[in-house]
Amino acid sequence: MLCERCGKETATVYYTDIQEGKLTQLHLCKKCADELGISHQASPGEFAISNLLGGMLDEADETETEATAARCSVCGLMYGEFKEAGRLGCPACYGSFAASLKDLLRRIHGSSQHEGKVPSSEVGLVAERREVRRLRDDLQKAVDAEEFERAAEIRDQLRALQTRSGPSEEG
Amino acid sequence: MTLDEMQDRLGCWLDGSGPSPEIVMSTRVRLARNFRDHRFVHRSDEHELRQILEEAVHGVRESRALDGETVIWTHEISEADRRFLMERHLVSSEIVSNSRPAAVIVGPDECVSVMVNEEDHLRIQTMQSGFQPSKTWEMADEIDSGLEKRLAYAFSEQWGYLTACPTNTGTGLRVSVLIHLPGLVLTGQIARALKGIAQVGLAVRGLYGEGSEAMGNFFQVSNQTTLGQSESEIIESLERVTRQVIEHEGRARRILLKDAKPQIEDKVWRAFGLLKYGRLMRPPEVMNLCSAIRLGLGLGMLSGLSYGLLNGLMVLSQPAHVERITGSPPEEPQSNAARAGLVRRLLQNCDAC
Repeated sequence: MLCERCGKETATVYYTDIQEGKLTQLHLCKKCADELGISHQASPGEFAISNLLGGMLDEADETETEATAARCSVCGLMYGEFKEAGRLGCPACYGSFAASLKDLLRRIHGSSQHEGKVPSSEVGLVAERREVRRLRDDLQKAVDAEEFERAAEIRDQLRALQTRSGPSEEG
Repeated sequence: MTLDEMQDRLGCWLDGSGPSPEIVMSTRVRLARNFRDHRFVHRSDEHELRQILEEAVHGVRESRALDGETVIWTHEISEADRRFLMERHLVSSEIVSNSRPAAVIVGPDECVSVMVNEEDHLRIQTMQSGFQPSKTWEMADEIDSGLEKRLAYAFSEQWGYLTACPTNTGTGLRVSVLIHLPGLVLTGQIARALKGIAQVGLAVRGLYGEGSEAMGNFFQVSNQTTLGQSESEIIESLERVTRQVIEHEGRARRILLKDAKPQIEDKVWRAFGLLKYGRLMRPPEVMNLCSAIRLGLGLGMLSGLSYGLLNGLMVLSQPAHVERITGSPPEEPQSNAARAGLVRRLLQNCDAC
């Protein structure tokens, strides 16, 4: 995704703010984020709502656990409160506590990847990315089993799919 | 449709039709959905809850998904009436004990409904009589697809439909069957069967869902996990396991018939006699007597009454129904007398033989 401000650089900062009940969500590149004074570290004493989620899921260390004092930038719920009540505050909490939730969801469900229904508005994109994921899994299995011919076939399928759909977000 | 009109009839999921009615009373599917732009219910203030209600009701009406719906504002009715809705499996205990703005939107035959502002913004529910997981899921899927065109759901590609409690995240799907297992109970195999069900990752609960007691040998079996599998995989695995349970129950009943026919027959007919002529009845007693008659009906020991009638008895004899239908006070012994009277009336024209 490109930066919503300059439209040139890749967005690496996902910024959520809520003021007077109005929700703003921005995807920014590092440069624009710096210019707007939004840095990875919300400065102490600054309004908690401008807490920002630096780094997306891909960057998040899987083993990292949110401190109980971590706070959802949209609804203000603290991770500790969630741990006590067992309920999240708003849909954005899933993004706010992504690293910890990923582990938790895996413990609860044995998986942290949705494979079910997708709202019709998002169906096309999601289906393509699911196919890419499936091929990558197959590729890994073929490599592990030292079936290199098959691996090469899958690799070609993957390339064809990725060329068609443009550069993959997952790199 | 008003509550007064509702009390005179029963949801179509109680009519005793559908496959394996002697063992599976009903199949239920629920989908948890939330709006993208609202806080989850327990963190919303009164104002936001009202907004959610309005958007939900508008969305359901516009989509025509329920085909002629009744909106019941649960915060505007008494706790007894909320309990009445719970006995019909239209709302959960969470709604009963809560007077914050919430609603249930009910389809004409009570087989489809949408609960608003329970744990999640929306809980779409479909119910069918007998063992019909695929059909029940398809009905829920259709309603959901109609609603998503009008309502912006909280959805993430990685984690699916986002819910207040992470245990529902993903498909938001819970499919459950209400099964009657007197054979396994009487032959002493139930503990092992329930353990087996739990071992394959399914949950076993009582008649009215989470935390409720298993009464009258009825058990609710449902999926536990919602993330990482598609809806059809979840449905198929519940179907597979339930089919095995049905088989075991059938086998246990055949053993009973072979080894203890006179005792079972006596138990069944005594149950019928008590229900038809008793003068004071507490709810668990009705449930247990219905359970025995149900078993007798399945074993061909009596005829002249139907699963639909027995299913109806079990709902109509619940406390809030008795109170509403007969006008009796909720206290014992008056309520027990009223219950027994109601049961006798329902069995009046029933000539079992």
